[in-house]
Amino acid sequence: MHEEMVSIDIGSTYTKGALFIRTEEGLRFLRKSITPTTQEDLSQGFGTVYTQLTGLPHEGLSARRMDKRGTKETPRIRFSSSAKGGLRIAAVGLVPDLTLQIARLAAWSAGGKIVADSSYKLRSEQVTTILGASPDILLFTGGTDGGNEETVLWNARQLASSPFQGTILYAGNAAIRGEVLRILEGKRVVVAPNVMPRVGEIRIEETRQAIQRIFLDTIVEGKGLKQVQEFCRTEPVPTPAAVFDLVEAIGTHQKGWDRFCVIDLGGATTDVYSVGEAFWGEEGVVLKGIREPRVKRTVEGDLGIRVSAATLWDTVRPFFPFFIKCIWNDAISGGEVIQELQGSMETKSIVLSEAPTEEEIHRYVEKVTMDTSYLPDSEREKRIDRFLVLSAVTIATLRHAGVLEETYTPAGRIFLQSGKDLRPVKTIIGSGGYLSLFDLGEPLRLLFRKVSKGEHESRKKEDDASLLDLRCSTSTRIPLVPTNPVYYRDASYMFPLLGNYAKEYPKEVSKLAIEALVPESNTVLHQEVG
Amino acid sequence: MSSSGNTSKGKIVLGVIGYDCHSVGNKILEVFFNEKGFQVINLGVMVSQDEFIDAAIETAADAILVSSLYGHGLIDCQGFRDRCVERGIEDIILYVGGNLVVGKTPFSEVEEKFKRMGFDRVFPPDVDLEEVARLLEQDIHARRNGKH
Repeated sequence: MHEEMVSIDIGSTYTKGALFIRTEEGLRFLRKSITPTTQEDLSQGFGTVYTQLTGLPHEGLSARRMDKRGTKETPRIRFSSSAKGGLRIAAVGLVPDLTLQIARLAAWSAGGKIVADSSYKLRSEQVTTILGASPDILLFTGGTDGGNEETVLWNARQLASSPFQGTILYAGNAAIRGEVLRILEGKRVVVAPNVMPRVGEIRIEETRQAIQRIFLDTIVEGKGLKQVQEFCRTEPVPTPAAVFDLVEAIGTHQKGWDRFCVIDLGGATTDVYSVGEAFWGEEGVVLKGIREPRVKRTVEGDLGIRVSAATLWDTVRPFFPFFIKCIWNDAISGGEVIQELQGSMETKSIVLSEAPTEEEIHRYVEKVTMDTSYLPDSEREKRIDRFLVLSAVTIATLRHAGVLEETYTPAGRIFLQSGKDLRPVKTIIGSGGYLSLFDLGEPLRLLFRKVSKGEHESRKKEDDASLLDLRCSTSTRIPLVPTNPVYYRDASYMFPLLGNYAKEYPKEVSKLAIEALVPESNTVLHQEVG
Repeated sequence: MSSSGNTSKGKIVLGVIGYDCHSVGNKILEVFFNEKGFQVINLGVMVSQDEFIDAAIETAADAILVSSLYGHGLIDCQGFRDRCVERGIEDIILYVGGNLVVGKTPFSEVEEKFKRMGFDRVFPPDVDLEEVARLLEQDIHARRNGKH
């Protein structure tokens, strides 16, 4: 057995591809290719990458290619598409902590991002907000099976009379599914089993699949994707869903990889994936609310280092002294930056340089927001980028993680846990852009240690709102971020490409994924085969 | 309304309120009410008012049965009915039972206090569960008929 496999990811900026070979011994990486994404006709960039990888012509990606291949075996192809930065999903639920939260988890795990949400009864203002966010999919949940009908039917009527044009995915109370469908007649509606059939029971797999199906049917239209699809004789998956599949495969098939996180930071969003039990049943800890899934993804649409730099800065600013202290000064003593800057003539003066003021960072943020393809042109700017990256990762992890609240009861001290416990996470894998390039283990451990001790107080009392946003308001609330993770880099940014095959060859693909990781130490593992 | 949920004698949310971790009685209640034909959503121990109400909203429950055994019931249950009103389930049936207060307060006084707080029925720890089931069925029946 000797099979060549092509994997291509059509991102918003670059179209990337890799050629793998699968033998009895497993999967091997052969070569990769990258080209700018051709926005007006995605099939062009796709074809370029395909030809570079295989040496085979793509000829306008005609489906007839299959007949022209002659004696040479045409490799299998899988591809993913980031779909203009992700599927836009509006989540409608009943109780915020129950069905709405589960709807969010389902949307995230399918590779979507939440652009609007609503709980309890939909009022015209909420409908307006949802319409304004122009979601592709409205995930409509609420009620357990046989549970609440009144609010769910009310919401169905509100949606029916709204001008919403996208797809409504109904995954609420199954007992009234027929009635809901009748009310929504004339709308594009897809159904899935209830995301919460019983109180506290999470069922999101079918909803996740349904979201991906909708992604295929309604979003992958035009711009040449149809052609790519015919050429490959396969359907695309949303890029984050491919990564999700890979993360799940690693957590299932690779020994020692039962508790880890993957963080993918880009210009617009920060995605966090985690694998591991949400609740460990420790003595003295009681879980409140739903038990979150073992494999979880969240996406922060307001945390990125270019398109979303301004909203990131809004969140970071109240904590500026804390972040600058951790990231600027401590990183120097940690030696990490020195290493990063080696080879530069300016090393000494940079390392000893003054920390930037708020205004300096503010100006930089304005600059990169204006020009989102901007690359730093000095060492100082590089370090400001690094500051933005590390604060985005910290905040995204805090939001992904749950929290422990210390409470005294007649039976003594106990802790109430809500959300997912990431403390036992052994490894953090940085993927995408900056995180693939730089070793961030030391500063991240420091940041997590500080926030878990509640040392990130903001300067003013008025900032309490954003403090809550960080899910840590006082010393008795402990964010459940990883306590002592090691950092690995997906240095060749292979995760989306491997993810495309994660459903078919979970073992092989996950093995190659972790073999290709670059560990923290100075000894860099060279896994790439030329 | 459709008939879903009416196949059982009623849907009840069960749990031990506050920081109370007495779990044995809670399990007994779950088994008992299930056998009696009620649909039980058991939230277990250390349940907050909002958790009871969240579950009742999602399931469209007929009643909430609150247990308290550690003597702090009065504080834990304060404002429960008001909270139900605020959150839109003002007509839900509220029962409470257990060792509700510390000390030797006569039960009639305890009952009076909890009823003033908006609980429909209040039970001492030695209540006959058969009696509770009978009353519950009757109250749920009345609520459903009154409502529709």
